[in-house]
Amino acid sequence: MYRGPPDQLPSCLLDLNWEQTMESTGHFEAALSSVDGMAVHKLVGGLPHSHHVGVRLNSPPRPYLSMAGHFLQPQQAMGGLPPSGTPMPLTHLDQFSADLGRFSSFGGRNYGHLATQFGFLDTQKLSRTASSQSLQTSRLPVGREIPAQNRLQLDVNNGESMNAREESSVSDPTSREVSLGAPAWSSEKKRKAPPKGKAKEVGLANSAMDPPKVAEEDAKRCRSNEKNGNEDDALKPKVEQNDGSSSNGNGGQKQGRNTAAKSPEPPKDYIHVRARRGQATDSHSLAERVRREKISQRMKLLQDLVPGCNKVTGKAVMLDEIINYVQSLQRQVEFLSMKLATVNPHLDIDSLANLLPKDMHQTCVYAPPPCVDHPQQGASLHCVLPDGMETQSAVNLLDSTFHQGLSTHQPFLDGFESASSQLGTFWEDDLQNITHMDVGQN
Amino acid sequence: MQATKSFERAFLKHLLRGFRLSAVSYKSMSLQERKSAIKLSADVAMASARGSRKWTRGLITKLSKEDDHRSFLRLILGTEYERLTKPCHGSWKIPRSKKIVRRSLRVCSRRKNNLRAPHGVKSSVLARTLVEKRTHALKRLVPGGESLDGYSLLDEALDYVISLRAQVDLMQKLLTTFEASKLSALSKCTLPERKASFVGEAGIHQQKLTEKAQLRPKLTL
Repeated sequence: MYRGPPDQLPSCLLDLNWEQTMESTGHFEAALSSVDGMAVHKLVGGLPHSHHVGVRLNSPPRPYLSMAGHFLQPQQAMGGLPPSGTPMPLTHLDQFSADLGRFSSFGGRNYGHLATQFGFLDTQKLSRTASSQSLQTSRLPVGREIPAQNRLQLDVNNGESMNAREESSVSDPTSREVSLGAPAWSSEKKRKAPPKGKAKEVGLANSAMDPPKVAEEDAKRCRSNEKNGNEDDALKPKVEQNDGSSSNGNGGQKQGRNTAAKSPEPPKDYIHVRARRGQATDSHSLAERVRREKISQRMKLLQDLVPGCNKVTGKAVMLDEIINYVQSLQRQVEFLSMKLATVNPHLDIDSLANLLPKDMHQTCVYAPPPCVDHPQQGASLHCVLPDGMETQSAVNLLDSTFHQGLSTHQPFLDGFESASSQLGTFWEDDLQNITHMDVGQN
Repeated sequence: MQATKSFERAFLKHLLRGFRLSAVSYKSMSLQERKSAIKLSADVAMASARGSRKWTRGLITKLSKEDDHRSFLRLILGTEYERLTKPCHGSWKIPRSKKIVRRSLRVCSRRKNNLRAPHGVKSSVLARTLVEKRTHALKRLVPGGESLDGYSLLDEALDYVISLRAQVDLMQKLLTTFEASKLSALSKCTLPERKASFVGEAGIHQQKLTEKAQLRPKLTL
């Protein structure tokens, strides 16, 4: 991560920093801000491809880390630079550790160690300097968001790295030894890269608190972040897409459907399914549920249709009823066709043809009130039959047909049993009629 | 849940056309022949009045399987005949792979064997098999229902039941009107003729009664 091709750092910057660190604490704040502003800046500008900036932006304890990063980066980058360059990062480190010193004694101790070695300021003084704006801003998120354990770890890590740094700076501040210490840091940083949302907060806080320079820096940082973030930005949408497509492939489709549904004509085959609590939500069980709901809806309709079916419960019994009803209807058709066959031979085609339109009309139009067409028939029969006896028989017949009419127009409520009994009564009526007539004639 | 008026009108029209075409009123026909002709024309009328449903196709195909019906069907349906009796993939007949059928049969037999085992028969399994059995019965009952699955089978059954009810209703009405017209026709005849006809009719009725007595036990199955 931190091994991107380092560009040459301007030595003037380092010199400046060196001088500034040699200044008194009163100027230290300014130095800090300038360092924070410019050094970071140049680093960023100089190392556009290092991910370091991106990481720094993306992590809440970023300011620290970034500083540490600064501090490491030049070391790495500077390879052959004179040892005078090292104090600059160390000032950063000092601020850093001073800030940490507030949280734990570790940092303080380490700092003290460092401070004594370099003949610098006290921890207290530095802690005062640490209350400079930029550090405050950097401290804020840490104090707020990093749990104590994390903080401790940070401190320990700082301590370790500082020790390493210390050793390197003391014994021989060459790039090799420093570079030994660097990877450990970077790996630590990597591990601790926290969520991204916080980073923006920090950035905002920074820009809000350090008026001109930091804002400028922020702007540039943003630009550099854009550069760096080309990868990130390219990655982010992909990740989101992946999330969208992988975690809820259905969700994506549903969204598509929703957008389609928002369009003026919603598709009709779209069935809104809601899983109740505790129900499975994968597509198979949803489809299965839809199927079952459709079937139960059909069953309900059939239940309304088939007489005597609305009392029973259970699918098997209901199916039984339906089967019985269908069978009874089919047999009724058979039976009626038989009856028609017995009636038919007495009608020749011509009379049938004459009869049909009228009867069709009657049966079709006047079907619902059955009493309407029978009086008509009766009237016609009365006209036709003048004889007394015959009128009597005719009236009898009429009565029977009337009964028939009533019985036929009765809905078949009780399945085949009632239907057959109905037909039985009908036959009895017919027989009675015939016997009546015979008696009358004799 | 009632058949529409247009359905009733179309049914009657088709039925009477079928009567005329099958010449049911010829006296040369036996009762059985006449009955089957009437039944056929009623079924065809129902199917053609309902239009294109899966059960109508199934019904017509089933009817056209008998040789003596075929000429009548061709006559009454005309150009529709070829279309309706043509096996239509996806609607009522599914081309089956022999391999798959064999495999499923094997699975079915295995399941049956499992059921026959005395232990481990759960009530839910039993209920499911009961439902399956009834579904199979319904499939056999609804024309063209062999290839239908749960929902579409019920849908077709619903439609078929409605049509059947309308058919029964209309045939009943037709019967009453026929009888009334027969009465009026009879009243024109002279007395002895009428008597003879009545006696004949009584004989027929008697025959019908015995038939009905035979039918009854079958119906109460």
